[in-house]
Amino acid sequence: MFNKREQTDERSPAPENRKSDSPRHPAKSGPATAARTAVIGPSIEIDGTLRGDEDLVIEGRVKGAVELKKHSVTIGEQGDVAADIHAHTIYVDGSMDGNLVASERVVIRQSARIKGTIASPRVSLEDGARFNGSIDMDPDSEALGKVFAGGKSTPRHGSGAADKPAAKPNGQPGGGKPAPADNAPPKP
Amino acid sequence: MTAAGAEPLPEPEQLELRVPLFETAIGALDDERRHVVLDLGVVRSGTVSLLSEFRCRLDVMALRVGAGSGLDRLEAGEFSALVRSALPPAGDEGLDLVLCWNLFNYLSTDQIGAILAELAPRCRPGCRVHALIEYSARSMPATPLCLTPVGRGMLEAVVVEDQQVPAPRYSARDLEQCMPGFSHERTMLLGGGMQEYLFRRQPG
Repeated sequence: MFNKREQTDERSPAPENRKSDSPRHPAKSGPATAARTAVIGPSIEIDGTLRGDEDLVIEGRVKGAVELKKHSVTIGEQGDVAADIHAHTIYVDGSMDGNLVASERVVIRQSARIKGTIASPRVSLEDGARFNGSIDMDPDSEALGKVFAGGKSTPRHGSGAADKPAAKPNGQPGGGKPAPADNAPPKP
Repeated sequence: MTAAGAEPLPEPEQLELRVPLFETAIGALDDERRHVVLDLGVVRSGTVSLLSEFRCRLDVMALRVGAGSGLDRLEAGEFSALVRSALPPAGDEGLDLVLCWNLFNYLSTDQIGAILAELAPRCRPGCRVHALIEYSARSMPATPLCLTPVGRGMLEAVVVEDQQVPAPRYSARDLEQCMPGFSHERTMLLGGGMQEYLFRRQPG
């Protein structure tokens, strides 16, 4: 059901490229245990709770809950998720209805369509993404505290310029057209 | 890269707007308290980026207005139902700031009143409502300018459509009359013929 593959830094889901000082390879600063990535392919449907100890890419349909608190979850462009996701880092390219809670970062890309709530100390969104709901960027928020109780999320304030607003959020004139992402999620 | 023989797409027209009242409203979030901000429109990267500086929750209604939105064909009840369904759950926290951008230009006073009637119970006393109104010009783009914060007191405005429609040119008094429970706080004339309005939720 799952395709497993070795994950190298080059294939890691990288954070948004709009901030020049953002790390290009989050795996280096992320959980040290990550070594593999599981992929839920486009023809797969899952209804239930997913738990594990590796990164996950969702290109299929998932309903229920995804609990990968020390790992990254990527909802690929074909992914269609109606679930609550708790992860270290979450990347969204596809369709999502539910609650996203990430201890480190949530990256919403241009193709994303999201209805629901996001709680994470760092959230970035590309223009063109469709979002309806709430984005809680308070590192001391109740939602983060409930999910990551005991394992405190990364404090945002004072963490460096990467999370300060850029003069031009997209790094280019126009504002509404983000630069082409060279940080596409790993493809199955 | 452009294919051989293909005409390059024209660069979208853009301008930068200095918005002192927006700066005032954002500056009020600059304390250690937690705040809740509602964006009535489609959320932009610059808004998320700007608000990430603060301890805050950003609610996004994602109301689409202007050409093709079909809002002008909705009955009052249908419009109110749309507003209710698009508003994120309030939770137990009140709103501190409502960002309307230029959406009010594309809504009737009845529709503006319907939105504010839904919002009023969610607003903390002192909650601010910030709006940009086409005031000097008699016409405006049929599709709203795409506005993105590029700092606390500056917006980048991108014209997405050349077709023009009449501008309603609402005065602060016009808007105040359809916003029960809110009072006009300040008005600022901006470059390009826009006016910037701040309203405030009255106590009680």
